[in-house]
Amino acid sequence: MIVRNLLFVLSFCALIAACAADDLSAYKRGLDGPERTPKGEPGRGDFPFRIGDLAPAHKPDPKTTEAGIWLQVEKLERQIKTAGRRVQIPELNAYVESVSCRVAGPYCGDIRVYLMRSPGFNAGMYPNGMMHVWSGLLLRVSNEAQLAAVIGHEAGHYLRRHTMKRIRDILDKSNSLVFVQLVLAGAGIPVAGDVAMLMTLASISAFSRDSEREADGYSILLMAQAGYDPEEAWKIWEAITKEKEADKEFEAPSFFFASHPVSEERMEALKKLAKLVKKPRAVDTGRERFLKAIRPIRRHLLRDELHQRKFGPFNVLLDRLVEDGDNVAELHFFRGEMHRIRNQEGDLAKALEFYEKARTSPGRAPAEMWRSVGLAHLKLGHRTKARKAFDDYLRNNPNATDGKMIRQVIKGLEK
Amino acid sequence: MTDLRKSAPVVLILLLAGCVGFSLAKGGQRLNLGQGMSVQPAEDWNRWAVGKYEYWTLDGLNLQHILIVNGAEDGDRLTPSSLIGHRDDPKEAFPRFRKGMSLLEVRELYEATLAREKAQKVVVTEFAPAKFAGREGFRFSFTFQNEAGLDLLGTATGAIIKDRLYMLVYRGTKLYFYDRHKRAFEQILSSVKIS
Repeated sequence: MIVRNLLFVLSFCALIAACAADDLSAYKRGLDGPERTPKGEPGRGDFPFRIGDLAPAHKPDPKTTEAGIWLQVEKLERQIKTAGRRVQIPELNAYVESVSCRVAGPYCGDIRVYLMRSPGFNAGMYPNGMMHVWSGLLLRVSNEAQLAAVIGHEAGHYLRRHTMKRIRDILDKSNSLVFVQLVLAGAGIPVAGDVAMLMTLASISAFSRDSEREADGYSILLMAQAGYDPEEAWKIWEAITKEKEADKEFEAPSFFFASHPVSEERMEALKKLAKLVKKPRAVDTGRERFLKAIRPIRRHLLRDELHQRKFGPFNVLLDRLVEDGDNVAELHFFRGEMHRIRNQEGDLAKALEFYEKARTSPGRAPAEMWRSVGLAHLKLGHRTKARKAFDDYLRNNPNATDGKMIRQVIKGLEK
Repeated sequence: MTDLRKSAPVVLILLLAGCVGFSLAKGGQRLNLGQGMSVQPAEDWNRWAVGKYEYWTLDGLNLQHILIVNGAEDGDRLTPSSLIGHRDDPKEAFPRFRKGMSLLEVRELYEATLAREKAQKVVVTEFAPAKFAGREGFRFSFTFQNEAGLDLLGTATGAIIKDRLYMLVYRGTKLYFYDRHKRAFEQILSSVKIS
């Protein structure tokens, strides 16, 4: 309920600044603040973006509201460092940081990426340079260049100080903090007036669509500067749009889709921007580096998605990954899991087909597949096959923590 | 944001409305929980009943509690949708108990439910057959972290009786609280009767 109320408030904030545009004109709208063009920037004369007005290692003047907000966010960042949701796999963290540094260039030291364990596609930027990337995003980008596109987008928010602008925007439009307090209190959130709350509202929900367009422009620019193929950016949205369409239960408000330009419009604009920007000499997608980094965690991330029980979008995600072609055995296993757990008419037979495909496909399915095969057979009344699968499971997992339970099931099947 | 902060608004609303859901489960008395289930705690517990679910605690829900699932049926969740009043939308994508589920699948279902609570680093440490209210049932132990990174331990034990799932889940912080009331939980568990 609280979540729903928060959704309401955040969508409300998103609506305040939402506006539509269907061509690049929105991307050329006045960027307030002085523009600086660092030496060697690959932007062309007609490319509507330059690096913003923040110098590397920028810190706000301690007398300003911005400094106060930074202080609050730093407090939040200390909590995030030890949060349970934070992914702490040294190799993966180092990899994501390396991509961030390559994209951010001279701003590398200003942006700190926190990989957060959460299904779904999202990332967020806080005004002090703390960036959150959801682990579900790693399933929805195909290579390092696409990851760089997202990080570049978030870095764009930092460089253009969008969160600060958003906070000011909320305050200006509401004309006083009291208004915000009233809205929050009406939604059952009594801790209104807290700067951190405002910051959270502004950062997690809703940069305005204009800010999003601007951040997309910066993303293309930073990608090109870092030597990534800017043509990779729009491809993310193709996949995300398909997934969104498959979600029959998808309902507004979702902050992401409420505050961001619609995917089709976004794709077209990103395509145009990729053509406008000066291409790097050597184009790099970093596919192998990316796959090597996420392989150890991918099946856990797929399980996170399956726990959401949104079978339609999950299937679309799996289709895309199968098309991509890395460790297909693991993906067929999850297709099987999706059908087994959904368990509607015909699903169990389909699950068994996919488990069999997983067994014979390139790559490696998780060892728990034999237990799943056993469960599917058990439900279909195939006692002999179920028993054999459970035997296989125990043979492949001699130290299985559920060994005693499985043995009991096998015993029951022997009767 | 901590769990405590998240639940603070809920608690405040309830306090303001004068309708705090806790009541006393008196020690030494057999308590009928409805649907044929009864327990007899040895000591007093704070009890919060929401539909087919009950939360019992001695030190506070975030530190230590027992969740009682009293006969979940086909389509039910393993936890209430809200502590204020369980208003479930059966169409909402959420892990749900299904008629015909095996005990092996109940563990899977509970893990998915934990994930939806944003529990992190969930590890089932042991899963074995166990008696529950005199029936053939299951028991599994698990460890996890909450969103804030606090380590917690848990034990879930239950049985499926006439297509309904009955289950007690005891959870508490790894540091101090889980161990502190584990014995009290075991006593309540041993007192469960289902007619």
